[in-house]
Amino acid sequence: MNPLSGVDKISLVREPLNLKLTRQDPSFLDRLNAAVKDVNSKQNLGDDAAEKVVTGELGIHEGMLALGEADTSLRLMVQVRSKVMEAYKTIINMQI
Amino acid sequence: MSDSRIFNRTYEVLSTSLDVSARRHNLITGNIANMDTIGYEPKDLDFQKTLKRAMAEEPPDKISRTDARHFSGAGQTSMSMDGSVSQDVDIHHLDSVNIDTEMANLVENNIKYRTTTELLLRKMATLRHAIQEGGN
Repeated sequence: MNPLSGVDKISLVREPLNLKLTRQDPSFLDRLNAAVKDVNSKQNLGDDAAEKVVTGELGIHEGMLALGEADTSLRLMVQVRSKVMEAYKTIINMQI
Repeated sequence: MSDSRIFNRTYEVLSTSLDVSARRHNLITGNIANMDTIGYEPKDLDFQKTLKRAMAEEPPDKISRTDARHFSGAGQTSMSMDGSVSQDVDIHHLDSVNIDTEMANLVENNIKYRTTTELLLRKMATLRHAIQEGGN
């Protein structure tokens, strides 16, 4: 299984200000691109797993697991997209 | 298969697998029904080889007939899914069909069929979700 990532983002430890100013995070666009590519590769993996289950090269549970992973990741991506669109609409309707 | 822009090759593989499973189910039930027939040869097919052969086959072209005397393309769409005689059995003996083997094959084929159906349903559910929630 993959190690749990992203937990350090919600920790209460404050990092020093000079580190925070000089830190180079990947940009938002890079993260978005990586996430979409990850979801797409999971879809392809699910397709390959389904074909391998049919041809007998893979167990049933492994194929179902891959398909469930692909389905869940796609649903998560769709929900995140909905949230982003909602936030954009909220900001664009703001009166200043 | 219909539109290859949303239905990729996986759908074709799964539907062909369903075809082969249904064909094998018919063969096995035929064997069980003819358990008491003297001189009956039990038939079976190899799932993997038949699936590979069926996937390698070209789908029949839909050609419009311009003359009534032309041969029709229909009727020859049955792929090479003919069963072969399973093993060298003594066909003149009464017990040419081993009922235990046939039942085991039936259950195995049934599980394969249900698994393929479940895979198809899950892929379709993902696709439907992507279409419905896809945007506004």
